[in-house]
Amino acid sequence: MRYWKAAAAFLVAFLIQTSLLNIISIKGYTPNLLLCLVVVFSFLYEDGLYGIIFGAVFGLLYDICFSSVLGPTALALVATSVVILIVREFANIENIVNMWIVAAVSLVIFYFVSWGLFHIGGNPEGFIYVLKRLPWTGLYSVAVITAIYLVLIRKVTKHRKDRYFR
Amino acid sequence: MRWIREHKLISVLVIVLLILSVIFGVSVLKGGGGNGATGVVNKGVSVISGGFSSVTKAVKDNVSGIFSYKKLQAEVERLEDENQQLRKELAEVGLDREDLEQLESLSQILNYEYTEKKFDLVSADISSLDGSNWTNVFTINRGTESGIKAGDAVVNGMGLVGRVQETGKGWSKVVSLIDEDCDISFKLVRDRKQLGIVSGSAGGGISGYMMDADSTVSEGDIIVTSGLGIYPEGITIGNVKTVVYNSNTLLKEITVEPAVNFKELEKVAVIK
Repeated sequence: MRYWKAAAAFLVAFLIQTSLLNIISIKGYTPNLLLCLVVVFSFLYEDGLYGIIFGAVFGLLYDICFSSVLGPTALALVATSVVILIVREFANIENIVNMWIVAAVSLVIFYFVSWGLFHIGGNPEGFIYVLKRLPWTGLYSVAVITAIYLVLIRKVTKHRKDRYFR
Repeated sequence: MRWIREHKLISVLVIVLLILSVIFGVSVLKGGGGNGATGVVNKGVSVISGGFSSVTKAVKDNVSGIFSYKKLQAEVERLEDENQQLRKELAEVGLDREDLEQLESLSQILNYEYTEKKFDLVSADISSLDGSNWTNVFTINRGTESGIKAGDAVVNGMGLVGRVQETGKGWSKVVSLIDEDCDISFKLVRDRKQLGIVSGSAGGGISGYMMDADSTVSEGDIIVTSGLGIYPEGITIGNVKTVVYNSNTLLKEITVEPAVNFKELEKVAVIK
């Protein structure tokens, strides 16, 4: 994928995240689209720079708009991307179950890292409170990750069900 | 340079981490907030998201109205009952007004000067809000052009929402009171002499303690800001949920249910 296309996808996700996404919120919970893109891009593309660069840039934009301190979301997205790049070396990216496992692990890592950094920045909420809020956002996010994965896997691996291809 | 070219991924990762760490460190040391660059970003996002949000809200209101007909009918019935109740109370207030007029005439005779504190309010719409995070920081569509400045209190119809952290032309970033570890002085509505301190708690709510160990605070008591500190006096914070006497600190510790539902905010007002 070309970098400008990836940048456009992140920009659209960021704008939707801040406005239109609230229309499908349940009790105020919405999926984290930036995290979804970082997870799928880092898992599917061998060039791991997508998740790191765009995670950092758009995470920082997110922090400017929605965080009391600058940097926690950006650093958490980069950390999540790095963990996925390591896991990617040992996982079959064509298997959707692997995508789900990576998505679940990524959610916990992202929220743990961002919570830790926010805590340093003076946020009083505990990690148990964060975990309590995770299921709805997590389920939503995994659903979105699955949708993006199913679209992009066709472009990443042509004829992926044809075993002779490889 | 050759090593960097050969190890592009690691090089980029190290540079990105260094830049982000410096930004984070400076931001924490500064106690949050941003600079001119963050102001430009916030302004841009506020304009774009504000446009999207108004469209979203219109669609959401219309669509949800169709599917929640029964709920709306029940709400109308409840409001009709409340309306009747308020009419009764209004009639009683009319009687009290005569007493008030008598008191005012008496105060004029005695040359008593009463200065009533009035809030100067600026109403604002929430232009961007994110529901995927546990924190409750959002952007509103009013800023320095309306006289809003950092530190101003933000309220809605239910009570205290938080404070303005950062502001610029056409936007302000608001941090909710449960997302900050700063102390808020309060008093009980039932007995305004009983004071205490609350702040955001680990459980995502508000907790604190009463100044007086002999306080008669009990579950269900409504607490309001005392006027000490940045928040003006008399703004509802919430209801006391639990009261526990701590024998180590010799204080009555309380947890409070915030009056405001932070995830379903649409309109707020800034107290200048």
